[in-house]
Amino acid sequence: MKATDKICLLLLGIVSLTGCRYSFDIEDNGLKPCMCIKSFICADSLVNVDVYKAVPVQHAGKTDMGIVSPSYSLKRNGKEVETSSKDIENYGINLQCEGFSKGDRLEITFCADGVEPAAASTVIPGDFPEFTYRTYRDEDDNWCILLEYKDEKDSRDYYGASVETRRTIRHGPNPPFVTYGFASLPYAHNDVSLDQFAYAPVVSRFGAGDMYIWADEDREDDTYEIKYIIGSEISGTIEFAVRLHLFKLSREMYHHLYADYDSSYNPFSYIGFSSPSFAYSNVMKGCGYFCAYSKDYSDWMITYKK
Amino acid sequence: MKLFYKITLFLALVTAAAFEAPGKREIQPTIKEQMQKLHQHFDINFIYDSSISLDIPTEARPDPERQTLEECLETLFKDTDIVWEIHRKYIVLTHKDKKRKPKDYTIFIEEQHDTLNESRITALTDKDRNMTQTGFKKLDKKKFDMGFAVLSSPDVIKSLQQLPGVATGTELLSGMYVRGGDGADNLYLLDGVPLYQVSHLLGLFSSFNTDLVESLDFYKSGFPARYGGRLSSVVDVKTREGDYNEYHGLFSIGLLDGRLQFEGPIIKDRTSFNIGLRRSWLDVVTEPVGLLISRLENRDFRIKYAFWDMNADITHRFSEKSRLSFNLYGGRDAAKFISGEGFDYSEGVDKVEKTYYNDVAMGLEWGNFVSQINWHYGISDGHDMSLKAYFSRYGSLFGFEESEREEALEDIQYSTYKYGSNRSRTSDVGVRADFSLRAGERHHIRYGAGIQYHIYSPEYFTDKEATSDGKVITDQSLKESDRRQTVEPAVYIEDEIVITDRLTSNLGLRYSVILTEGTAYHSLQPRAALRFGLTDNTSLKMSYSEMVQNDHQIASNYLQLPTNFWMPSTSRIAPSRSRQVSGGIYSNLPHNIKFSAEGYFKTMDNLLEFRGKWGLYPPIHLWEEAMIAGKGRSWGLESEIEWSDGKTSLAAYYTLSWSQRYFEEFYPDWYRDRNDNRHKLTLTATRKLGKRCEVYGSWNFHSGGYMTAEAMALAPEEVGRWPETFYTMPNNIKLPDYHRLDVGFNFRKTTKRGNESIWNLSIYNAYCHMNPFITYIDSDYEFTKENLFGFNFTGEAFGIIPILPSFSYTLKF
Repeated sequence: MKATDKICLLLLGIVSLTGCRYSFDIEDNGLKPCMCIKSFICADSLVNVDVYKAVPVQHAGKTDMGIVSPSYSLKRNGKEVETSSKDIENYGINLQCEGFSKGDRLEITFCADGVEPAAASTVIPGDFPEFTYRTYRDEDDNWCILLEYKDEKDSRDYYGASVETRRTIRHGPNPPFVTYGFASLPYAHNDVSLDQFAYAPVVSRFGAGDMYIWADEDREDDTYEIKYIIGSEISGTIEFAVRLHLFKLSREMYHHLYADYDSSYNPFSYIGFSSPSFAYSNVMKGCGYFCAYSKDYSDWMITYKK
Repeated sequence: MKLFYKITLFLALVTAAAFEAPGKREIQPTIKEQMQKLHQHFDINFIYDSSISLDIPTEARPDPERQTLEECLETLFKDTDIVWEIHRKYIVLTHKDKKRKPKDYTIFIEEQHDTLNESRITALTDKDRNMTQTGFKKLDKKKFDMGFAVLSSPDVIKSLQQLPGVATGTELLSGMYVRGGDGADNLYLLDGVPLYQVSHLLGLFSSFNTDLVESLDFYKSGFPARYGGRLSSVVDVKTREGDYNEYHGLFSIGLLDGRLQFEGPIIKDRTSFNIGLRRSWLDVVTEPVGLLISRLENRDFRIKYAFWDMNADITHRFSEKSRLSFNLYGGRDAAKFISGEGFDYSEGVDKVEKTYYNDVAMGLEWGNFVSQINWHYGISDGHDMSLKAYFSRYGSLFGFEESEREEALEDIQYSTYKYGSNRSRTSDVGVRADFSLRAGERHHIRYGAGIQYHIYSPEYFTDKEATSDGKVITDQSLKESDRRQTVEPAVYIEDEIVITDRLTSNLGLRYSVILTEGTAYHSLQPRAALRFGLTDNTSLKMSYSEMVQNDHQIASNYLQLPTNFWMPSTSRIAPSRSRQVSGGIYSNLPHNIKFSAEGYFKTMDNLLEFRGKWGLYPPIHLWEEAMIAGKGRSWGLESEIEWSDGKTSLAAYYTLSWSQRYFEEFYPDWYRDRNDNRHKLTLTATRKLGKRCEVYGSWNFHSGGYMTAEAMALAPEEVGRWPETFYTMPNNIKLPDYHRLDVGFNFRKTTKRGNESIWNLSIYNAYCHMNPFITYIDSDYEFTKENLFGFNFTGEAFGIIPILPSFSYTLKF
């Protein structure tokens, strides 16, 4: 081995010794057990609100996680709503009541022994604006939906859309079979897309598929033109259909989904180098989400048949 | 821009010449210049009433090499009406006819050392106390040389990080979070020109070369009206003019960088130059390491990093009243990483031999360029003018290139090529006129106006190509850019008023406007400071100031990566604004002890945070959507205590502070800022051991910052299943406390040729405490009787900076 190689090896050794991993105590954070509320409330549908006791992660499994002496209140437009409750898994409690209407303001408070009362509120959003759409195949042979509508920017509304797919596929001599799925969306900055909304957030973990969300506040004018690139034809497909779901979201739901997406996408989020944008919760003195939405449109569009 | 320089230089020369009487005559050195010589040779400071004129030429030639200090002073002031007295390391100058015996040898100073009047004061001993402004600290070259040295290289920002009220952020980086600021709200001025980025090596070194720094004024509050454009602090760095009579300089070589500084006359007594160069040689290490890895792993691997910077100053004195200077600063960082590998494999029933190649290259570059021309002119006795024209540019580039290909029987089966780059440039062209007028004994009025033209041009480009069996299947490219231009005029006036012998005030008003996209944001920024002398040794001070920041750093993370860029306020994003009240007590106690305690409350509006969804690259054409606006507030108490007997100096700086943020889209209530360090303590000590040796040390402590993590857990659905975790609020996890000890040793020697040489040995993090650089929550699974669900969550920290011994050798010639 040459002398220069030995020197380099020595330098490498020094550099590799510089890194050092160690554990630190996360007790001293002022975190206390709190209530966790989980609820996506859909307009005109049965309401389910799940409530749990959350404990600091370092105590999970080492302390009692059941809810003791619970008391709660769910109000619609300031008036108490009758609810039923039952125990569910994870030591949680499920509250149930009849559906609420668009425009209703909902407030919940939940108390239990050993935790501070938690409170949250949301408003069930109104109708999705009138819209038009067309389906077509672009220059790259991708199936696309172009959605157009108008809405006043100052109304500060929040929207969501998802596209469900249905394909009838034939594989070799086997009889055709039907497969369902949700269209995935172009989202990454690096993936070249000339779609001006390629940077809009894509949110997973809502329902069975991805939801595309956007807000008035992201717009510069009142005109909306949402291009939804579904993907190209798959070999063996003999029938292809899509179903478009359109949603109006509460402000809380928009921010919760947004933060949820950020937490899984931001490469710096787990090492303390980025903005805490993924930490949104509208539950005061607690954690979780208490959100509402309305599902305004859902229809199959057969766009391809061999 | 060459034409710009030529025109500016020409105009300035012509203008200056117009004020100058024709004919050439020899210019004698002034008393001040001779004092400077003595200051450098004997390590003494001069204290004097600002009414003493020191800019007058003198025929006296004290010779410090052969004469004692007393003899030099006698020679220098023999034929003047100035009386001198030696008080330890200070020389107090008074008028002959006003001679008096002061109780306190530091009460003569009422002068400020600023860009307008930089030649009046040689050195000050107690300016912090006697200034009307609160939150002020003055540092000079000696403090840098005797203080903190990163790998034996003195550093401006690291020195400031030791001061109270300055949070440091991530280990070893040049983050400066002043009184709850966000790090991009510090006004860095290099000879009066704003810099957008001041770090080398991702913050390990700052851009200021201390060899050329004459002094640094640091304001945390009580901002005089002549400063504006950032919310939280002003770091006003002034470089030195060259020597008008002799050539000299220094050469220094350290563990990571080398420095060269040289100054002297171009035309004796009239024109001088001062030039400083600095370059790292980390690439000398990284290149061979890359080669070694290439050899060991049989693949192409190269890694290279280097930075350099250069300061140059040329000053021409037309007369005692008229001086023209031209300054250049350039600095650049460049990092490159290349990796390539290939391997063979066989595929299919026929076992077709194939080769797969993957090549990756990544490059980062960033740097500043500043050029400026200044004309300083004494209009009349007590009335000075300074005209400045400048051009500055901050540029950065992040490039990424990747190619893959698969070959079989020398045919390319498929290949992909991907290229992406983020490039950003921020350019400023500005002119400014500043005036200083002493109206009687009770008013010192400063006024001025300036206009800046900003160009912001971030750019993103990506190209993607894929082929299969020779057929192009994808060929896409995308270029995004968002060029913005703004104009920002500003005017100001401030008056330093001596109301009574004990009461002084500094009242000022600054008006600025930014014209952007047809929108004009006007701002009126009142500034007021009041100082009341309780006794000869103790002052009370109070100040109120409002600051406005018209441009914003767009950063996807807290690291100073080249993917960050600057953009102006727009019709959607308003300027940021801060309001701060500050007040305290400043006292000289018996036994040479100085003490001060200062409290503050500060609010900030329209702060910006990144939404996070774009990851590493902030989006170029949708950057306004990527940022959300919020508020900040901070309050605290800062205390300093210093003692010195001429040989030994001790200092302790303590901060008790709170810093909070309110971004409704993150959390519906106020939450802790990530740099909400409750306690910060810095202890420093320097000691002269004889004439040749000095030792110094500093111990730094601050409470840990905060990170955001899913800190709350629900019970799992069943034993063995992982629990669902939740965030509670931003910055909910406190990080470990930070502490480290730095020590250093200077050994001075005179060479056979009479030059001074200095060996510096320094140890960063002397007891090797691994402060966290990266932190996260880790989890594992171990079922026990005490742990019914079996999972454990722990905080994990990764420290990268162990004990770092280093050395440097400096030769002054």
